[in-house]
Amino acid sequence: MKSTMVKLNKVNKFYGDSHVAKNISLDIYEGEFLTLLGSSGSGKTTTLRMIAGFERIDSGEVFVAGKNVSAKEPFEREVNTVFQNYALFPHMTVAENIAYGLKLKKLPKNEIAGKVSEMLELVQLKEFGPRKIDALSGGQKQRIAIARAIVNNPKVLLLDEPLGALDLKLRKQMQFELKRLQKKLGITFIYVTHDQEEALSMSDRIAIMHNGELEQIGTPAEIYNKPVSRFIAEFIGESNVLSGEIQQVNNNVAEILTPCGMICSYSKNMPTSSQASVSIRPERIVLKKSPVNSFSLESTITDQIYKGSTVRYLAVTTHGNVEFKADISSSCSDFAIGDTAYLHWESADAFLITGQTEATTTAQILPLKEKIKAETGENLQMMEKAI
Amino acid sequence: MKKIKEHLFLCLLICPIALWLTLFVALPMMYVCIVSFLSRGSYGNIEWVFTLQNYLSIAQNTYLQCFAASFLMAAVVTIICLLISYPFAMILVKKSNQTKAILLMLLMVPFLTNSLLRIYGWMLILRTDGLLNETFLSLHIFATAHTMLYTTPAIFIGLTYTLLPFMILPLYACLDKFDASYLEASADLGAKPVQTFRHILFPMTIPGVFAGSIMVFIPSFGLFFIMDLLGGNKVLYLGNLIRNQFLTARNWPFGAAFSMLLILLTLLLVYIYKRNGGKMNALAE
Repeated sequence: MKSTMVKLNKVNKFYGDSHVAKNISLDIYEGEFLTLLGSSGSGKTTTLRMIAGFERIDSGEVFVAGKNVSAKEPFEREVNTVFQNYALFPHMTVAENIAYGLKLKKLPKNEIAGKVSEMLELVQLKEFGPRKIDALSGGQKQRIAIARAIVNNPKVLLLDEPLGALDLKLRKQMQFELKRLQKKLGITFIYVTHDQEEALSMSDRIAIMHNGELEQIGTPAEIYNKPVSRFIAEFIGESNVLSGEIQQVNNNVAEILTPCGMICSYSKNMPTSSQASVSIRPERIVLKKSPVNSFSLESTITDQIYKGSTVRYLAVTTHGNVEFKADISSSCSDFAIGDTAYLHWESADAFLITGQTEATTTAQILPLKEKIKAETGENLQMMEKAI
Repeated sequence: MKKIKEHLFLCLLICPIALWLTLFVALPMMYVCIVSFLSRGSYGNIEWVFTLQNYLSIAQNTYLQCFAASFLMAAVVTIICLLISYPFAMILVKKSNQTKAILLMLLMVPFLTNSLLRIYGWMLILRTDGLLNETFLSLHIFATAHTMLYTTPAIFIGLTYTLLPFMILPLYACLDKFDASYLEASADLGAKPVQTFRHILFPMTIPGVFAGSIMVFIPSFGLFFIMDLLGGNKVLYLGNLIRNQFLTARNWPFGAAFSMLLILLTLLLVYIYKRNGGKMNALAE
């Protein structure tokens, strides 16, 4: 059993009237790389800032390394932060920046110098000690910001979208380096990002936040394969979402009647004749030339997009007129626009999710659409396709 | 063709200001500079005979004392202004925009009133039978009325009062732009608020401090009417000395030499400010 390093217990935070963190309870284990993922305004940065101590919590408790730090000032907490804009002190040299925390702890001078050069070596900027901050590139600033934080040997390192300002290539490289550093040092990392790809590739676990609530927490594979809500299904990767009524459940396989016809999905503890939404990843869908025994949805291919290793087909079902996204390996894609295809998937690849169902359509979906529209433009498009 | 047109337009825009500055700043300044190297005639007129005597006379003990006294006073006033303004500006930037506007307006409105009138106001307050003495007497804090007008503290009060906005505004501009994440980073690395102020906030707002200091320090030399009205002209300060040379002693060349000294001091301070990476627009703000 891994020991808990950071614990949030029913934490709430208000900015005036808006409730930005809603009853968040979260355990973060020692040596773990945990990502707080969410779109802007989801409360992920606020959560991080509450752990750092920059934001006062309105109710609940925050523990770091077993100590209740809810009322502690940032300088009393055993955590360090890497800021989004790095916040490197421009009136100090690189070495002075890294030494800042150690000087405050009144460590002997030679020890400070030793640790500073050790850190510079760790972030591969050995000769940069005497340089001015202005003379650094974005990626170099990033490394120095990390060095300045970890030189203090924190129990937890908090990273607030640290790669947001870097270009794509550098970001990929830094992702890799951050992961390497984390493994090497064994420090608990709490990482805030809105980039789901970054979250999936770096994290041990991901905590997804939405509208101030903790929506789901799990390993990247759990989040990707078993999203608990429609929001997550569409936020993490792409998804086809269908709603309908559960007809019967046999051996954890539910038969669900949707406007497009009968479909099958993995199901656990769901009563029959209840409303449910089903999520199927595009790459799990199989296109067949003829109907499949168990179930398949007749549809017409409306578009195809070549993506290299796969081909993305858009297919509209004959019944219900629902558009599906399907990614098929390009080596066995022999459909053309206008062809009739039968959509099929293994029932184990489809999951029931919570969220709005199609049976209740527009009245409830529209406000949700607005909400998501405000957050990400992309989601809206995906959602419209799914509807 | 288009370029010429653009330049023409710019020239037209700049012309009035350039003309104004040339006529009323550059030319008089040059005249003062020239006069400082000329001799005084028997009747207080200017004789066009080149001499360095004016500058050599400054080195006399009396004048050096006067300069030292003025320098010390200007320095003290600058420090007092800084001690009041920094916390004030820090509080100001944390207020909501509406409160900021009100507080800044309260600061600026008296500033628009003639400073001579405001100094007369202080005379009424500081007089032996003035507002301050009366209040303290009626509250039984003072047994007898104290002499407050025509003392050195009265000069400090007057100068600080007059020059305070010049310190607050650059500091405010500087602190308002200050990125709070530096303070958070400092606290995050273990600095207590006092340490954060000492190592981060103050060093990083030095340009504002310096800008404000120049704008308080230099005028402190020149506001002779405050020394006259509140200080009773008991101690000779540089501003009064220059005024006296021009108006009373009618020794224009000598007064001009002192003026040049003051201008050189200003230029020196601005040079130091620039060399330490200060931006000139911080002074303008």
